[in-house]
Amino acid sequence: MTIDAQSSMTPTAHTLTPLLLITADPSHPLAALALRYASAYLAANGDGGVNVNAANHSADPTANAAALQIFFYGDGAHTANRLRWQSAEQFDITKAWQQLAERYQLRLPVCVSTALSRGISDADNSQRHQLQGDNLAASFDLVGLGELAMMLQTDCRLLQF
Amino acid sequence: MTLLVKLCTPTELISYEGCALALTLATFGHEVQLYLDAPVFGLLMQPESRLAGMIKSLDLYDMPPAWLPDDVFSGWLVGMVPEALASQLELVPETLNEHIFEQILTF
Repeated sequence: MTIDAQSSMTPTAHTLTPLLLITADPSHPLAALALRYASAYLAANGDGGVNVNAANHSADPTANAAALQIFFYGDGAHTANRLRWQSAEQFDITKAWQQLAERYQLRLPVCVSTALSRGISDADNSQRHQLQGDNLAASFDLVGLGELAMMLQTDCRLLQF
Repeated sequence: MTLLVKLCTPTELISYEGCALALTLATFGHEVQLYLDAPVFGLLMQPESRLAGMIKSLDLYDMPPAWLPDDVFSGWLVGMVPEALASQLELVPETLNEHIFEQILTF
């Protein structure tokens, strides 16, 4: 049994909205692949390439943000840690996601329980759980797992990375 | 959505999170089948582990018994764990059409 993402690396014309479930640690090759997929998908839609959702097709890149959904879970939550240091020559995947989110007004929800289990917290949760400080990177949001379940209620194509 | 969730990582946190995802999606009406691979058997053998506790409650979530690999080791496991847990486990069908699942998630 294999993960369906393996057969869906290239964004192609689907009628279903892709939902990227990112569970890979940011150092894992699949984490980079998820970013490449999202970048290519959004660029193709925004620049008039692959028209995944004709109703959302527009020259305005932000018009296609709703056509792609993201959810960070498990080890993927490490991506949202703004204090994750790495040497200068390494690719900063957190920054890349932030830039993508800014350009396309993309939401970057992260499962709150998996994030907290890995020492990643925002100000509200730090106060709620008596934790000192917070380290959630900008543009990321801590949300409940129910939000993923709600995303799956829509017409979507779930891809795990 | 019809999903197969495979738990293959022998760490308490990852297996718990995979199972929690399965149970949450089942709560929201998705059809979820769990598959427990041999690396998580050690956690199932620990009655106090979160994974063992959640597997025992699969029927409360209207989920079918979790699948185990079809081998001798699985039979040994079922014989070793408490009845409440063993009743929520069964061997993966010999003939399985994976296309019945819209997606397969692996943890």
